Amino acid sequence: MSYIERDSQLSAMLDDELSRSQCELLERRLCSDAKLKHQWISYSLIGAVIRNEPIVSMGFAHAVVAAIAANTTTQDLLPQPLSNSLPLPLIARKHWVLPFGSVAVAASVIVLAIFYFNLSPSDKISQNLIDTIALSEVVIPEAGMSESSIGTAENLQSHVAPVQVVSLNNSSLNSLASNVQMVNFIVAHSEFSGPLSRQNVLSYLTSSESLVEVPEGIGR
Amino acid sequence: MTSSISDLTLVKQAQSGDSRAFDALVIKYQHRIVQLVLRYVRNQAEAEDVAQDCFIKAYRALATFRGDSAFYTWLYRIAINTAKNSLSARSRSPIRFGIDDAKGDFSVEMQEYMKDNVTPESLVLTNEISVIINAAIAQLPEDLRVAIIFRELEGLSYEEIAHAMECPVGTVRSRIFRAREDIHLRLLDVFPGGLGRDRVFE
Repeated sequence: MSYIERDSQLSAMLDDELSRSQCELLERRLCSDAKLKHQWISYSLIGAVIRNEPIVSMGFAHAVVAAIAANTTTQDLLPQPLSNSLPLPLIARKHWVLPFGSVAVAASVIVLAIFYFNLSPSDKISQNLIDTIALSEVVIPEAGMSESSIGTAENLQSHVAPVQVVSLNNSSLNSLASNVQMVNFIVAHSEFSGPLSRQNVLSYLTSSESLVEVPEGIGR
Repeated sequence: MTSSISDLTLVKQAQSGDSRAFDALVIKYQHRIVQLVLRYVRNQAEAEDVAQDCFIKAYRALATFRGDSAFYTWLYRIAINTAKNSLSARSRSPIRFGIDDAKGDFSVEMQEYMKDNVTPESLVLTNEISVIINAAIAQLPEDLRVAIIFRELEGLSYEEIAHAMECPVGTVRSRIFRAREDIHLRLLDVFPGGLGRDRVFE
């Protein structure tokens, strides 16, 4: 077969006007003959120019084959969508997530604690909690302190904030350990809340249960 | 529509692991695919990136191509999907070049990416090629020019062209080949090394 006939077949192959057997024969030559490949490039390019298609950069096909060989894509070099890439740090996604998330976590922990302790009436944990809180507010007369120096109950009511004097009986002492545990639980799991928030929650517990026993003449 | 014989022959060869056969398919359809992708992306450089990715995906999925449809139809669908995916991905995470990057702290991958993009030199080159080809077509004898225009622009088959030009199919085939060969030789006058990447940019 002459070169002219071979090139003519190449032109016909591009137009899909060649028989299967001739195609198979020419295809093998096309893959191995550099001159034939350059003609294939030229013929394709001529068609693209006539059809007014954009001419791609020289070496486009070379880059595709090289990328296939390297098993990489240009898309791998570009930024990937968030769903496909590694997870970013939380703060990098949304600036408001951290503070709001912290508040949400703290609130959920507090709510869980409230429900947990409210649903445990058998061991009177709520009562123990009240006792514990009251302990921190106990005013104990110091030795040698006269009754007049600390004032009467009426004086206390009028001049001092309500004070509860709790006498620790045996049951309170026995449950003190569990009270402390419970308070520690709330404090330990409320790392994102402030002291004021915790105090409010504990106050809520005492008020909601209505278990505060105020001795007559003291407090409200 | 079934796949053309020449495409199917090249596909079968590529399916057997010969990337040179796939290279021939890329050369044949690269311009058409870039034109298609340009409907979805902003510029040619981006279109070439997407087209490149399309061809790579096609190669990876080549084993699933059974020839029930034309190869170009199959490739067309991949190109459309790739372009749409690229569009949505880039809208979610646009390319950012930080201050540090301006100091030359590019990663190796980014340097490769930048290197493979369209350069002003390559644009000038493609414009020059286009001018040469158009000039060569204008200088062709009328029977050759009409034959190749019928084929490339109108997409007529040899038989249809033969009917339109009132000549045998063999004559049509010869005219189209002579037209192409004439233009090819004019291109070789300007680019003696051919139009392959390695030759032109040496």
